[in-house]
Amino acid sequence: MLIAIRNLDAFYAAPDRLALEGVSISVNQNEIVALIGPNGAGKSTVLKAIFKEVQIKDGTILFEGADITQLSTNRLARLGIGFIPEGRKLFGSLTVEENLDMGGYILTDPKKVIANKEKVFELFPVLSKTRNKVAKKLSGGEQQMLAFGRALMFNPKLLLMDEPSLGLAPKIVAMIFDMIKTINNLGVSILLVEQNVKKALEIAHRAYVLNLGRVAFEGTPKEILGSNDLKKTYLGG
Amino acid sequence: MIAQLITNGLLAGAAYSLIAIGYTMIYGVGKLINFAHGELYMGGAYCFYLFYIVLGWDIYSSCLVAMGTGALLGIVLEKVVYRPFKKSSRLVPLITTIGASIFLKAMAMLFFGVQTKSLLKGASFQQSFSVLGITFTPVQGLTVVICLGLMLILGLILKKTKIGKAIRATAEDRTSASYVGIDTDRITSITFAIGGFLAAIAGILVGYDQNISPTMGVLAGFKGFTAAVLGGIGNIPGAVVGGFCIGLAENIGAGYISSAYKDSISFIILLFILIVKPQGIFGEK
Repeated sequence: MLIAIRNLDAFYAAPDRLALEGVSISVNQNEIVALIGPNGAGKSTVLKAIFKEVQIKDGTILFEGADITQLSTNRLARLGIGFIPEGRKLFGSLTVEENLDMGGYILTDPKKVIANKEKVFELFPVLSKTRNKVAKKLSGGEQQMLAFGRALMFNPKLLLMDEPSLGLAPKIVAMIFDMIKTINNLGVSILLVEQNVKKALEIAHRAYVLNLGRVAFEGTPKEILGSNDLKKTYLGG
Repeated sequence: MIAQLITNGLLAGAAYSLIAIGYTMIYGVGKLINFAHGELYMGGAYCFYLFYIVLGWDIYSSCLVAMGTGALLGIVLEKVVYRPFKKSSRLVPLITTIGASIFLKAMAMLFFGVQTKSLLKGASFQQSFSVLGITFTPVQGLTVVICLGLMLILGLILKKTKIGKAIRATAEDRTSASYVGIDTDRITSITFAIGGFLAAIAGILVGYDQNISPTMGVLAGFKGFTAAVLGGIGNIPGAVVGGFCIGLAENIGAGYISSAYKDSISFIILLFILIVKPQGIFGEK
C-alpha cells in the first residue's frame, strides 16, 4: 500500500464540527483511485488533510509505511507526494519554464532538473513552445498541463489531483483524462477528486463514494455503476 | 537650478529605492507591511557608527559588519515579530512590527543617546564635486552607483538563481510553493535578511552624508513605504521607480515651493495614490 489513511477526523475551524469523520482511504502502487460524491462531501478535504491545510483531530496517514500525519506541507514533496490543487495555483507571473524549475525545487542535481524538463516537454509539447510565456497568459488547458508538468518535475510516486477538469472546455476535458492515464502509465499512483463522475470512473481502478464527511461506499467503478441505489443517492441518477 | 534639483532628487531617490525594495519584497513574501523597516536602516547606520567611530575599525570592515548586522536584524525581526503571528489576523504582525520599531529606536537612544552623530572621521571625504554646475559629494555619487549596482545584482538573483525564483514563487503563491517542497518560512527569513541588508546599506550611505540619529529611520522608512506603495506594493521594479519618483518630487517641490514642505510632499503623494490608484503604478487589481 502506498498511502493509507486510517480513521481520519479532520476539521476546518471548530474541532466539534468535523469535515471528515472516521475516513479510511488507501491507494496502492500504480492505482488510480477516484473520490466521488456530492458537493461538500469532503472529497477535497481528504487531499487537504494530507497536505495539512485542514486540522487533523484524530487518525493517522501512512505513506510507504511511515507516519506522515504531522509532517509539514513542504516535506511531502521530498517523500514523493505531489498535489495539483483546484484552480491549478500556478506561479502566475513566472514563466512556464520557471514554473517547471520550481516543480523541481527539491532536486539537488541541476542536470536532473534539465532532464526532467525535457521529459515534461516531450509529454506536453505545447509547454515547450510556450516555455518563455508567463503562466497566467496561458489558456486554461495549457495551464492544466503546466500544473501536471510542474507536479511531475520531482518524480512523484503519488499525485493528488483536485478537480483537474473543472472549468475546461469538453474537448480539453477528454484530453486531461487521457493525460491522467498517461501519467499513471509512467508509474505514478493517483488520488483523484472529480465532479465529472462518469469520466473519473472510466479511468479509475477503484473509487470511494463520500457523503457528509464519511466514506459511504468503496469499490470498483463497475460496482458503483452497477448499484442503482448509489447512482441515485450520490451521483444524481 | 532644475538640474541641481533633479540631481538631488536622484541622490535621495536611490536610497528610498533601497528601502522600498525591502518593504515590497517582505510584503510580497509575507503579506506584511514591516513597520520596523526604517529601524533596520537606522540600525545599519548605528552599527557602522559603533565599529567605525567608537571602536575605530577601518571603513570597509565596518561597512561589512554593519551590512551583515542589518541582514541579521532582519532575520531576528522575522523570527520574533512575524513568524509567531503569521497565522493570526494580518493586523497582528502589523502591530508587532510597530512595537519592534519603537523598541529598536529606544535601544538606539539608550546605547548611543538621542543626539545627532556624525559618521565622518575627517573632512576630506565631504569635499564637493562640481560637474556642469551640479554640485554633489563623492559619497552621494557613490550612493547612486551602489544603489543601482545592488538593484542590478538583486534583479539577476531573482531572475536567474534557484533561491531567487523560490522567493518569487513564494511571493506569488505561498501554498503552492510549499506543495513543490519550498520551505516558505526559510524563504521569508531570507527575504527579511535581504531587506535588512539593503536598508542597512542605505542607512550607512545616507548617514555618512547627513549624520545619524535614533529617529532617522522614521521619515526614511515612511518615504520608502510611500515609494513601495507608489510603485505597486509587491512589485520590485515598481519600488525602484517609486523611490526615484519620491526623491525627485520632494526635491523639485522643495526647490519650487518651499524646502519647508519637503517632507510633507511624500505624505501628500501617499494620500493621493491611496485615493486615486491604491494599487500603485505597476500594481495589479
